[in-house]
Formats: sequence, C-alpha cells, structure tokens
Amino acid sequence: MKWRACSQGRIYDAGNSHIVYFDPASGSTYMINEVADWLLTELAINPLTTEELINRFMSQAEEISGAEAKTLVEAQISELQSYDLIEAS
Amino acid sequence: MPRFKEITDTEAKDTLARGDLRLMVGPFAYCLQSNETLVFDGLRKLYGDHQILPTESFSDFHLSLRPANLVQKWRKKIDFYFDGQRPFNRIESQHAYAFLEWGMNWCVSTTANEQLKLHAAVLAKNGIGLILPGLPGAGKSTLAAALCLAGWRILSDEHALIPFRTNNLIPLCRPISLKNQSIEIIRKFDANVVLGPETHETHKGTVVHMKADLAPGSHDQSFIPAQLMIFPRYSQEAKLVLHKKPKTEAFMFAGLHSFNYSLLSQTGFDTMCTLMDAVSCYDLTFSDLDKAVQVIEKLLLEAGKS
Repeated sequence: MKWRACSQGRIYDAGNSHIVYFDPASGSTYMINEVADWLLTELAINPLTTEELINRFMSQAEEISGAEAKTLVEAQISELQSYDLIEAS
Repeated sequence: MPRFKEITDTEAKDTLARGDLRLMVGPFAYCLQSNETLVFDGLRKLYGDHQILPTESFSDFHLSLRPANLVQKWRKKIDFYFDGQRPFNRIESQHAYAFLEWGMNWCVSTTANEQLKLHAAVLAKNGIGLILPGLPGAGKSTLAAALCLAGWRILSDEHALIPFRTNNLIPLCRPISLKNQSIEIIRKFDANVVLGPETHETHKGTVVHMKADLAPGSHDQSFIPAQLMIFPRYSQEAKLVLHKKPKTEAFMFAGLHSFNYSLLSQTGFDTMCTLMDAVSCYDLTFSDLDKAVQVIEKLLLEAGKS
C-alpha cells in the first residue's frame, strides 16, 4: 500500500519547529511539524509505502535509530491521514 | 459632518426616537432608533465625538431597540431589531444599552467580510498597530482600556479588520466593554475614566462601556500597519511574564479564533501570512496593569527601531 498526497497545499513557514499548512481542497488549516511537512513534500512527488518513507527519512535525518524513525514517520502518517491530507492508493 | 455632541439634547433625542440617527463608527454607518433613556444617555456619553450623517444618508446597519407592543412596554421588555428582523430573544429594558453595544458588534461580526476579521482588541501608537487577540476572559479589553487611558489610540475593542493580503488595520473606534471586576480595576487605574450606563445581571454579569476615543485623531480612518501581536492572559496575583510566541502558534490561534478566516479560505490564509510576516508575537501574562502597560511601551519602542 502506498501513500500519496491528496492535494497541493500552501504553507506558512516562520522558521519554527512547526509550519502552518493550508489545504485548499477542504479549506482547513493545520499546524504540522517538520516531519509531517517532509512527508507531504515527498508524497507530493511520488506515492510511497510506509517502509520506503522510513528508509528515506533515515537516510536524510542524522543520528536517528530505525525504531525512532519508524515511530516518528508512522505517527505523522497517522496524523496526516486523519486530516485527509494523504490517502492510501 | 457634525459630531453627535454638537447637536442639542432635544434634537438628539428626537432624531434617535424617529430612527434617523446615523452614526459613523469606523468605516460603518449605523442608523439607530430607540426611545429608551438608557440608550440615549449611553450614546450621548460615549459617542459624542462620533460624526453623524444627514438623515437621508446610506446606512450599513439599521438597528432599533424598542418594545414589540404596549404589553411588552408595560413589562419593561424590549427587542433588538436588525434591518427589521429580531435575531435575538427579548431582553429586559434595563439591559438596553449593553445590548445595543453587543448588537453593534454582532453586525460587524456577522457581515463585513470584505476584510479578514480577527477577534481582538486593536490599538496604535506612533503609527504602529498592536493586535491583542484573546479568548473571552483573557483580559484583552481590560488591557486595551488601560493602554487607552495611558495614551494609546483604540482602533477597536473587538475586531481587527485587515484588508486582504496586507498587514493594515482599519480603525473601528468604539467604546470598550468592561465586565465584572475589570470595571473596578479600570476605575482604580484612572479615576477620570468616562463610563456609560452600568448594566447588571446580564449573561456576562455586570457590564459597562468606557469612552475610548480619547486620543487625538481617534476617528481618522487612515489604515495603520500592524507590527505587534500580543496574546494577553490576566491571572490574579501572577507575576508579569513576557515571552516570544512562535509565529505558527500565533497564526493558528489568531486565525482560527477569527470571525471569518475559514469563510475566506485561501484569501484568509494569504492575509494571515502577510500579517504574520509583519508582526512580532508575544505571550503576556499579567496581573498588574501598570507593569503590563510599561512592558508594552518597551515593545513599541523596539518595534519603532526595527
């Protein structure tokens, strides 16, 4: 099962640990963290599985264990799914 | 255009009773009608410096506070009419003035979507706009009243009106609503404060409105750029604490507690982005109004230098 981004959102990034994400499809606005922002960027390019996302995340993040990466990525996938910002394809 | 205080009491009373009183409040013209003494007294005391328009002029909002019939008049009950409709339940006539103020707010809150409307008190000094967003009870009106009495110009007690994709503030100077213990706090802060009719036993407790157009140019309609956004939180006995607020948090709080951010969709988002880029954001916890005013004056100085 691969995840893909549902829409191309707009972001407000003030350089804090979180960004504001506006979803034009629903008109809703969310505050999401950097990991979720990264996931949306990746999934906007190509649909990816959870495993692929974890592997990519580990290759880009410094000093993170596999277990930590899995926890972080899965939590953010779950959050983004609950906002209808990503969907399974 | 004459100011309301420049016509005689008799003329003012007759004009209000006929429903021909057209009062300019910020960018809006209100056409008001009432025979209630409280309404007349409150308007005379708090809106004396507002301009009035000729009777045939266009009005944005037509409001009336009157009994529905003789029985209701005898029962001392009145209704709030908005463009001839009654959007609210019947009220006690002793609540008339407070209800007029709430009704005037309601008109702006539910219409006027030509700009982003944040739920906030708004002030200005030295050409710098300050937005004080806050949930009810956070102390934004009390702090706004103190700043007003300390020389700041009130742009609004309730609505930050922001033209799309700008950080400008549209002045909407109205009396400041004070509730319960805030009334005494402000009386102690400045014994010369001008207050309107005191209304007891409302759904918000005791309510009184403070004359807010004290600064020179209070009714100047030129836009003022916002540069400061402070989220106040009054807490009894609390020490003053000020810290920078992340802009993303400020965006979410101010945007999602606005009157029309969601309605405006992408335009609302774009306007919030422009605004947030322009303002420095802070959380301010306070109990001492003097200290809170002092710290905001310092932030104003810093904003003026940048």
